[in-house]
Amino acid sequence: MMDLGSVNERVISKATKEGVSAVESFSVSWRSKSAYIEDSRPNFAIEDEQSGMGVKVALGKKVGFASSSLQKDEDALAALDAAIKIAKLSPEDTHFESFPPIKEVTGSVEGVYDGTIPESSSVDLMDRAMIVVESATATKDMEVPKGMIRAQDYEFRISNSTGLENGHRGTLLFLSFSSKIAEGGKSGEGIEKVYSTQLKGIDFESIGEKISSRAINTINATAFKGKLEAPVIIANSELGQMLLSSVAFAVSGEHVNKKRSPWADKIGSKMFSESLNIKDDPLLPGGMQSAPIDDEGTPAVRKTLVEKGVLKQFIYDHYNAQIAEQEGGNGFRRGVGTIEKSHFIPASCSVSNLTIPPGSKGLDEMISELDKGIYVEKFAAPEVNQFSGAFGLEVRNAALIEKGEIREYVKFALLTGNLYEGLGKVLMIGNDSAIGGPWMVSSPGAAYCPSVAFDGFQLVGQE
Amino acid sequence: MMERLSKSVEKTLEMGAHFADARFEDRKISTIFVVNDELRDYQNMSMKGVGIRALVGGSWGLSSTSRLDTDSLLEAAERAVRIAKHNAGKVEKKVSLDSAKSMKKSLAARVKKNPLDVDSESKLSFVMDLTKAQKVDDRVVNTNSRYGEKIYNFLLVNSFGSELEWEEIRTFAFAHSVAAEGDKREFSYDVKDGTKGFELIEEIDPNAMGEKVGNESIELLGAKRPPNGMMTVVADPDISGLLAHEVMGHASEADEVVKKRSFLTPMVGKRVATDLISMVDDGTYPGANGMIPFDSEGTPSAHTSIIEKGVFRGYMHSLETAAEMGVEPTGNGRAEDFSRRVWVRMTNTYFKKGSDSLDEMIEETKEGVLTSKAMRGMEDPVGGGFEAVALKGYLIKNGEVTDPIPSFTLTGSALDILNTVDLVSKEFELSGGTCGKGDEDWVNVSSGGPFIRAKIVVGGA
Repeated sequence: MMDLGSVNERVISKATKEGVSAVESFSVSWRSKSAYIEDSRPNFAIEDEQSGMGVKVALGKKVGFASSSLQKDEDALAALDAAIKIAKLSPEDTHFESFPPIKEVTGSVEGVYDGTIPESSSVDLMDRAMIVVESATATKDMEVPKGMIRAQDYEFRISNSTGLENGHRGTLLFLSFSSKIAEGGKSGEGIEKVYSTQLKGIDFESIGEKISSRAINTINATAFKGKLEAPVIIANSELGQMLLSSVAFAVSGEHVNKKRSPWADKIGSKMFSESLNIKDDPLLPGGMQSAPIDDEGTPAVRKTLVEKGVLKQFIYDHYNAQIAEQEGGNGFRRGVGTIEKSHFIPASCSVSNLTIPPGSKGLDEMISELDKGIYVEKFAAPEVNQFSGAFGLEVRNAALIEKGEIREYVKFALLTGNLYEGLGKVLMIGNDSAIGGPWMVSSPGAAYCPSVAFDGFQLVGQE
Repeated sequence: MMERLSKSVEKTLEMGAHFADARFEDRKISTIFVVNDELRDYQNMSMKGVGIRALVGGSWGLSSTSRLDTDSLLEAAERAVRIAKHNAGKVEKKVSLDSAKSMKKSLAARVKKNPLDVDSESKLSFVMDLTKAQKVDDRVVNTNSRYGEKIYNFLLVNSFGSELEWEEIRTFAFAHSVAAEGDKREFSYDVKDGTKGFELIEEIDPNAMGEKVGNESIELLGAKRPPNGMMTVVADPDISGLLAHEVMGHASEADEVVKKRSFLTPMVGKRVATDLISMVDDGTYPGANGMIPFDSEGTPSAHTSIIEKGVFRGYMHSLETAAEMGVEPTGNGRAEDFSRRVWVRMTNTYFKKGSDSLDEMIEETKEGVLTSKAMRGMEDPVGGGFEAVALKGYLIKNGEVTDPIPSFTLTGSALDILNTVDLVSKEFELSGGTCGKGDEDWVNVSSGGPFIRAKIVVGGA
């Protein structure tokens, strides 16, 4: 891979000679390997190797940013020239003060680099993809129309004119598989997505079994009719995505400063159930966004956002931290599912790994405690209105619970409610913590949470 | 560069590839983002690289790199063939692209004013005006405006002897207001985009656009809770466009059909909607955001009929799916960029306009909902389920538009919905944006069409 430290050094050196007030250079290299399955067979494999950089300069309070792919050092210097040109044209940003200062990096993080990923080729990944296929298609009439595995190893370096110089090496794995079964004019689909920093330890056979059983549940599901208001257990991965589209927005210092956050003036308020705790954990072992530093080079620190239902603090990147006179550490540009294109955007305020600590109950135990309820295993797209917390989500696969047992699977229904209000009506928190990825694979911010039972939501059917 | 691409393709053939292409991309994007009257971000992005594809039997290999020297490209070519060969033995089907045509063409973008020829002050001034205009009231607590330009240049060489060079230029303007009253926050937005130069921006009155967005965000502060259940819905072009794009469009992408993942797999020649519904994908639509001269495989874009008077007509194709199904490619083989694979993707997808006026459609609705703008939609090619989230809407009572309602979701089986369409407007609009396939692989598209009236399940909180 390219010598990224040297790229940053040349950029900072030239910028200083050009007389800029401050400069920050982020450079990144990655190798990416992908394997695609189509129609239960290998179809497409990709190997990609790229480098890129993004540079931000300040001329007083006039700021400009430019980025470029890197094929030679001159590309970085051309990007610097473009950033200076933009800064000269820009009106002053009255809030801009500086880039992050040097701070000792004390935290360490485990499980974010798997040496087997750089050693694996797209062919190795294809072999693993076929394990998923073989496992799923062991069920009669089951097919795997579509699947992919992508593994990346990367390094980024961040330097700025305060003398800060930091970097991080990591690995990312993203899998997405779907199975299908058809019977008597009906079809069922089972989908599984896996985000991980590790290739080793992934049980590809169980992924195949999972998509197979989900497809069977879906084909057996019937269209839900009418309306039902009852306790709802939302599966961990689905809830994680809902939290990223809502809570991650509300706690962002950028949105607080700009008065977009619905929680802007709620610090110290008891807003949620006593049992609810939410943290931002950039040092989570194996976390998708885990690293000893954020993408501005600021040391990563764990933060308690909600404690026993009380809103405790927000998260800030350096720019917004200066405005709010708070600590930074949440300036991110790395995507959860891919490092590609991370240099094309300046760092912005984002959660790292949003976590809800697990409770004590297993999913089966939670179900057994409900006389009447709903268990949602899969939404079409688990996204919440970030301003109001309202949602109306198409249920792709859900189970109706009666007397502590699953009675039947249903689909073609909407689950409606308000997640911000729901966080104040938490009935049970499971012990089955799992990751929920963001809406876009390339967005920063992951969520790790268990399945949670809520009161106050409604299932709406077709008639 | 064309010569280096040709050498790379030659290399793949020497190594045993049955088909190969090499595509160079130079993508330049510039955006200006203003928040609350202050410049938040002004940035330029430059992305260059080459992707080389090799087909061996039925197995594809793609190798991509940001290094553009001859040695790096030859190395990438070798790698592409090696990858393809390695998996070729595991693929039973063989893909033959022999019917693809050879072409040599060079096409510049058809824009009136190249954004690169416009000074930055004019762009900044537009965004500032757009922001200021949103502040119609103290309740508008946050204003956001963005200007963007995308200038893409492509070179493509393939093993049939095609040598293509083309340019795509897009511009866009975006306004987004947040209004607050007590603990309640609501927002509205507007976006204008297309394959146009700076003339698209000059055609916009930033004051009118900004004021409209600001006022809409305030209107929603007083909105009532949306109804839940099956309703008569007058879907605006954004929502009808999502029905066309997300369900009928994604399920008409032939790569979903050949692997039998699409619920429309056995549907050619069958009725899927009332006869008021006709639907096309049209990559040639002038000025629309999804207009492309060629797809990522060098096939010229086309006007493809998908539904005609309620009867399903056919699919969109890449080179591979066209060869597999024995039809002509339709110019829908698209990749996000040089490092990503080609999928069958839409361009500009819409229902054709009808003969009713929106006013008549509302007058003829005793009780229902009128949607206004979309927040998002979700594909379901397997199940044919429709899910779209409207930014807002209005209740219709006794033929009149009454109270505003905030964001709500529309859902149901797409075929059930299309078979209840009884009115289609003569008003017609396309909205641009980007579309992902599954989780990623974003390409520029547009969708839209007329207002349509149908029975749809709605729900919100």
